[in-house]
Amino acid sequence: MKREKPILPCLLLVLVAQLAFVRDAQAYLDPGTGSLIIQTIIAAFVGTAFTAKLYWRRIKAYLSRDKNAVASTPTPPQEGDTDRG
Amino acid sequence: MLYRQVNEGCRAAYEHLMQSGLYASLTASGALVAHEEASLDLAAAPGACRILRPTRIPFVSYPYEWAFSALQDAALLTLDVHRQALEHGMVLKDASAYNVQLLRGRPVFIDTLSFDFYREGEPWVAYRQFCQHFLAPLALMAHVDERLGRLLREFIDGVPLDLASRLLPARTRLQFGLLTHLHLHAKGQARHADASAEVRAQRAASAKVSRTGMLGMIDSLAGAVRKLSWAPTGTEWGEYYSDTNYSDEAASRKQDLVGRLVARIKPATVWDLGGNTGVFARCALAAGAGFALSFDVDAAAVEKAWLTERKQPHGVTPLLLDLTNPSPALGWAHQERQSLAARGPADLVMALALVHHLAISNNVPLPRVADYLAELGRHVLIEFVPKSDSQVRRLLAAREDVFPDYTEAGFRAAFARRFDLVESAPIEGSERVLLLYSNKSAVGRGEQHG
Repeated sequence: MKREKPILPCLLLVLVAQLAFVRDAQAYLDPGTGSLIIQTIIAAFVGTAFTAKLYWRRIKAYLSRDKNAVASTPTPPQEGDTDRG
Repeated sequence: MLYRQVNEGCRAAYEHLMQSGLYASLTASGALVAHEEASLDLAAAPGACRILRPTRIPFVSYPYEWAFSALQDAALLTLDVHRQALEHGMVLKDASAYNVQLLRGRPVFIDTLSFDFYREGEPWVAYRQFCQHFLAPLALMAHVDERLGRLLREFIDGVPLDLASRLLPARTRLQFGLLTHLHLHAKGQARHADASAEVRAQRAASAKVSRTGMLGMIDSLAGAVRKLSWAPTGTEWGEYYSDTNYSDEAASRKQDLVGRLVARIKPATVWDLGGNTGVFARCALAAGAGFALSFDVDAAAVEKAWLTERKQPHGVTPLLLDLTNPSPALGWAHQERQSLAARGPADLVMALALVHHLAISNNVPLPRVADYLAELGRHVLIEFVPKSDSQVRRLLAAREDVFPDYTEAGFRAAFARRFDLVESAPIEGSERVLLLYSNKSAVGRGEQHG
């Protein structure tokens, strides 16, 4: 568990009346370098899988010739939206 | 009254949350707690741009008190809120389980100020926290032992991933979600932990995740969470009320009697200690109580109560609690998480067929039982089970009877120190008696709770 300095001090949680003290709930979170790096790698995999899953749903919906299902299936991401990592 | 202050630095994010339609959509579905804006005069520190007054949650509970499925529901809610935020150009900047509360069989996200702008290419900063607060404890409960959920009480920022990875059986590496988000994630952390601060900052700055990648992460994490399941083994599951000393008729009379006594108090809040699957908490609500908590030490009972409430909300929040070692005050200066008593008192505390477990199985002297209940409730409703009852005989079968004071007279004397008797009523068809007491001391009397 790491408790580092607040990165973006911007929030205050104020408890009035019931509690006699004021607590600072500064918005901070150490994302962890390792977590960020591993996330880029995992995201590259699962992002591709996610896109494939959406296309597959559209294909299945098309094959079952259920026009409503086609219309309600989310559109897979477009425009060179590729991953690095 | 609870107020939250939005400072200037967060003005833009807050305004975007309110104006983009995200707030309206999340509050309409009940995913996010609603709030009103209050006067800036209430600001507690300089730099305020808004003061919020969120709708009050009747009781703040903590993840280490939740049923397995409740923690799972809270995890899925967090991911769903994050996904919806993304659709509106925002993200959740933290994914703490403490940002979720349980209300009427559903998790509710309570941190209105957790939303920040989404910046193309940025990874999810709350990824590690999500895994520590949700995925790791759920995986440990599902794959090792349900009791490992209690690690959340020790590790206030979630279960460290290296610990979770070491405790999980090897077969969990065959599941893509657990392999990546827990095992590889833990390895990744260890690998970068020794680098210098500059190197880590450089690596962190160069980490990029596309929007599709972010959506894929949400989908993958949700899949990993959904795949986890826990069902109690053994015979206890579902058989709570087949093994009591009550005939159907006596059980129904007990419910009627409890209902009548609850109606006499008209409590806003009821805590049912040893509440099992929530039967009597629901009974209290039917008798007019405003809000009820059902506490039990048995995770299977709490799980069952949560599933019941989720299916058909009555307003009972089931929570896991070992009354012989109740939730303490935790965190910095003991002020981050409140003890059980600090979250009270309840208008009415019920302890039905519980005192013999405390007094005989756990050696708590009756006066000490009275003392603690007097801290928790303005009124208490006790079902006293005498030694002649087979449930108590069973407890005494394996040990020496060193409880000469465990009699109805001894019980009444112990409670008379702290309480005034309002009414006592024998439960027909059994040897047991219900006693309704009013607290002699003004524990939180006159304060608004709930």
